[in-house]
Amino acid sequence: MSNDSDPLHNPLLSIREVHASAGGKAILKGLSLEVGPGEVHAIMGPNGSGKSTLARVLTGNENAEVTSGEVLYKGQDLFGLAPEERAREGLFLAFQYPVEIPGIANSTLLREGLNAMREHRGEPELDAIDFLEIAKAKADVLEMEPTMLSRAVNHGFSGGEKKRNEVLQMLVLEPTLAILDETDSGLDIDALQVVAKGVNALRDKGRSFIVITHYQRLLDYIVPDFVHVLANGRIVRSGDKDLALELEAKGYAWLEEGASA
Amino acid sequence: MSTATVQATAFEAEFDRFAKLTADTAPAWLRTMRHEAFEQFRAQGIPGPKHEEWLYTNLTPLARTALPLAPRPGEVPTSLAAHRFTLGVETGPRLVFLNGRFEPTLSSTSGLPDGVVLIHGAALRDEEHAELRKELGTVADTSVHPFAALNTAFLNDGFVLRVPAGVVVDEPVQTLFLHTPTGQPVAVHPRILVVAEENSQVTFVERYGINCIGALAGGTCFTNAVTEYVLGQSARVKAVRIQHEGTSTYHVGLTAVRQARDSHFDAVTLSLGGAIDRNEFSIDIDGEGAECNLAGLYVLNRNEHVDNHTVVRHNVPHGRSSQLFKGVLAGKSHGAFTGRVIVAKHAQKTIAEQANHTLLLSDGAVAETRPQLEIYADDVQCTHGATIGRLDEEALYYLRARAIDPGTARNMLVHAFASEVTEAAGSPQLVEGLERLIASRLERPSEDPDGTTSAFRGESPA
Repeated sequence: MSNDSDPLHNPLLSIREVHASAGGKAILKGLSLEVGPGEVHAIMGPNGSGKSTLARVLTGNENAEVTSGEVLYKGQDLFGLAPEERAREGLFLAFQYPVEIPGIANSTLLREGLNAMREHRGEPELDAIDFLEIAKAKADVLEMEPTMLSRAVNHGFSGGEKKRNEVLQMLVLEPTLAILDETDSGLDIDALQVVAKGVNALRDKGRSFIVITHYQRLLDYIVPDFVHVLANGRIVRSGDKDLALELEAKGYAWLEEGASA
Repeated sequence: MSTATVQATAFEAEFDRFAKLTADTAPAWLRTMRHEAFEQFRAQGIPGPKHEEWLYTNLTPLARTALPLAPRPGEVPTSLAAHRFTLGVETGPRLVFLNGRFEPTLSSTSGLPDGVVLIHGAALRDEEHAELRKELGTVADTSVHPFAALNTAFLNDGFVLRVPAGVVVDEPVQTLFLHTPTGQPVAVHPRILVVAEENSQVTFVERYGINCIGALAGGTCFTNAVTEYVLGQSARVKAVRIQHEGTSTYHVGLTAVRQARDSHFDAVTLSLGGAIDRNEFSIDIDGEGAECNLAGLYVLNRNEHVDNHTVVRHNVPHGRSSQLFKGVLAGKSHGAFTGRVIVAKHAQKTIAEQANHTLLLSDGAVAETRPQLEIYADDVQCTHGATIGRLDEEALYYLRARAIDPGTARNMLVHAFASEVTEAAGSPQLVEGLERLIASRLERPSEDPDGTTSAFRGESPA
């Protein structure tokens, strides 16, 4: 599991000393992180520590402005890629607040997205029938009604349905690196287990995850290889899954003090 | 004549010429009707931009231009590419008019149930058919609509569709009015009467287009259409109206509707570009329990101008009406909506709603909206709302985060915005046909001679 012991190992994602601001305010203050293929990294931290800004920086959201530092993804400069290009290279964000888009069917969004990725990989376009077969099978994994596919994207969905819909999109698009931004927030334990089931279904040697969460509970179901604590725009502590348990017991205050010191 | 209008001297000589030319074929009733209408037109003149009902549209240049009736096109196309002109509904009755003249070789009355009457041209003019056309001119008020008066003055080759009581016409009745540009300014005055008798049902499609693709010959076409609908008790009419005559056309259309008790009139109107497009609905809800739903979409670019103007009169209690007009404006286009709802004093329990939403895709586009509620009853539910906005940047980012390129994403969002209107057409086939038209409006550069189609898809909305 350790990167250092493998000289041939190239990290999938390498975040180097990234500084970023949002709304004119500095949020990330020299954040560094490496994610190798097949690894699951959990990022925990108090509100305002920069967790969502990190997700925005990685996926090219204009609301986060990178002021310095670099990110290499599959060895290439991530900041040189537009959001759709990052997605086609297998980067996926499960949004903390999924956007409602009345008038566009879930299945239309998914098919357009999947076909854009397939085209990028030089694969033939899927027709509506082949696509629906795939989408229905994925919906089934998440115990979602197939009718969810014909509903407008997130429109009128409950909070739990929206989160589940994000995971459905992840299953259909089969990313190389998935970032889950507080996908567990607001979910009851049943929904949490279903979401975790979706993530675990996708886990394999080549696929990596960054799981951003407030709560240790999610990590009972999606067991991480590494846990990092983000405070004041930097990673102040890294460990294995036991760190999450420690945080659950002790809170963040003891680490934040360390961060600002 | 008020100072807000301009005298239309250019039409006088043309009317005299037309009257002489058709003296032999026009029976007395028609000659009288035309002359009375022309007098009404002359009395009203052409409304200028100070006219209360014409604030957004200035057609006074027409007063100075002699606009002869469009000549019979030199060449009649042998077929109309089905996908372009039939909205995907390949079968069923279809009536094609070229430069205002009925074209039998391109038309078909197949699929009309027994008893349905469809007459036009000489048959319509025939003294013997007085009963079949008895409602002609009784719905459109030529004393307040100068262009409707002008239309009646030039009435010659109109037609009447009459659906007898209880008859359901399954397939849409499609009409197509095509200009063949000649390089000269010309006028056509299409005239339609649709009568849906008690408990009958019909879908009627009117389409106004240009019989050529790509860059248009010079010259200005003036289309001045009047369609009258008479709905008997419990009749159901779905009306689809599509205008895409292009930037060399001035289009004035009046759809005048009279509804009896418990009847339903649902209209979908698409304005897909023209130099000036004035699209007017005048609805009289004359029977209790009647319902009227108007849905309109306008997709404009360059200097195109659309003025949607509605008047819904609730003259009796327990009526219901809704209006939903949506605009997608790019380039330096101009979209106006004036929606008036008049609820008479005794028209209690009326429910009327009205909404106008505009999507601005450029800084140069202008949207204007003017809801007017005149409510004289005291127990009604009337609402109106209007929004003007840009594409939702968050939605755009969300689509891009799912690997979709920005051009496609913008297009998807515009389609999503429009779909609320097209879905009002009801039948999946028609909805699909309308959506295809909108897609080609948004995407096909060949119909956009200036190559500014990118305004709908452009990288930057500015």
